[in-house]
Amino acid sequence: MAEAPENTNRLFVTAFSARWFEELLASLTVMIRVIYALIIREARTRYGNSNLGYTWALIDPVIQLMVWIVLFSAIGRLSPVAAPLPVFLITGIMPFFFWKGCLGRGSNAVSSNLALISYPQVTASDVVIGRTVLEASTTLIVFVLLVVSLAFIAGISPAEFFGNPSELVMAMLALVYFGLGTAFLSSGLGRVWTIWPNVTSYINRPLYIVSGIFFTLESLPTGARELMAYNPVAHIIEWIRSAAIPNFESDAYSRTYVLAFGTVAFAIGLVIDRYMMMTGDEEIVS
Amino acid sequence: MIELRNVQKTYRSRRTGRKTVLHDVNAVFESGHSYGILGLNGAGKSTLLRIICGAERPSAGKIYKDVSISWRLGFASSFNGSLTGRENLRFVCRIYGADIEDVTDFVEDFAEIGAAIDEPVSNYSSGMRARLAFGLSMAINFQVYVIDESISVGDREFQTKARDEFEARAAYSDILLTSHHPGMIEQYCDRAGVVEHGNLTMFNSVEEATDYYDRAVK
Repeated sequence: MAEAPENTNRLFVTAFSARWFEELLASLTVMIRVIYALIIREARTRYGNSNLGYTWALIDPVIQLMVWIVLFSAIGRLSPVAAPLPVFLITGIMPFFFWKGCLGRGSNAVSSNLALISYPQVTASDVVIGRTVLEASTTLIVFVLLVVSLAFIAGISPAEFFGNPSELVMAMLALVYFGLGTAFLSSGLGRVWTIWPNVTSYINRPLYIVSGIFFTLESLPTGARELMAYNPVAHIIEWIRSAAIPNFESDAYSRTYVLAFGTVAFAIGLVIDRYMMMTGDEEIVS
Repeated sequence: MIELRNVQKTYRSRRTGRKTVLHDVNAVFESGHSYGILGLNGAGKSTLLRIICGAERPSAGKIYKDVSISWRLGFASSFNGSLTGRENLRFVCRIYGADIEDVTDFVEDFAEIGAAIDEPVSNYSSGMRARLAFGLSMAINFQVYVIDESISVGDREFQTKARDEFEARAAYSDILLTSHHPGMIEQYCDRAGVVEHGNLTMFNSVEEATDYYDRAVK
């Protein structure tokens, strides 16, 4: 067998050869290193001007939740499901905050990190993944803090949040996947359409009301319920609630719809990313 | 070795349309040699360097490299103003897999900005920023150092220090340097090329390149 010419050997690595796997492993290592560095940087700079720094990311959702809990208790509204009011609100608001974060943080992920992307090992997807992972970790930390503090302050047993633990883990993973897809789509749209970051707030504000945070899809009349069925955020919230709250199982959500929506968003985002990489139209900070 | 094959770069602008900055560039930069690239402003030198560093992708063509290449020396715009100098150093160490402690010690000693290393970079003077950036470039060992136009940063004292460190580094690393003045290239490089109107011509000696450049400019 004749040796391949040296030049082709250097430039092109045969797919699935030993060297191919070696290079894949090496680039995955770099990617993980870069994403880790980006997450630390993001956590430090997101609330850069405040002395509280990252702590603010934890305090902010807690305050918003407190306001709703106090408000709902004051007007004497009861939980629509067989769980205490705080449990009902937390299982709706926390997934929503995470998703809203993915949409908003994704929208300007690339434009605010152009200088970093000029390091050869930092790519646009790294920035988007980093932001999503940070958003997910923040949400998880806040959730744990809330569960623990409610147990001490209001005597609400943590068991109220873990009706079906394995299903809850599945639902949370689906939420992260859906959020990652949203972040990729949002960053892609932000790259081709500079006004996009401003548009995201017009999207998430109405969705705050119609995603079933303050009511369950199940409790809606059929007409409204059919309309809501188009909103994937409502599906994932209903899914998480069904898994988290003991004795509550809604039939008004579809797992497939959430996952399909996430996959399509992810795919569109990746296509835009590839297109932008090929054209290289983005302004490079030199 | 760094090899460019049929590298082409076209920018698109909403206002001025398409502009091809590099046409079909082919070149080989061999290890063990330092290269200079001459060219007038706007000839395409900086674009070529950015593509070699990996800061930009070519519109067409391929780049092959088997050496570690620095960012353009003194490139400080990646510093985040709300992070301290130390935190900015840590970020770069993490993405390059460099030892945070070693790099920080080196930069603290080299940049001589004292306690300011724990201040947010937005409070720095431009000189302090440049010192930090230069110190960081020297703290991480690259096989090829890339310099766009100039290495003179800071006051005269720091300039001398930077030049000494850079010359020491040049003894075991290669240099890729662009300039519109042949002087600096003659000092540091043993091979050179000329970029004009987006085309790169490589020469085996600096004299040939400067002769060609002088004739082309006049």
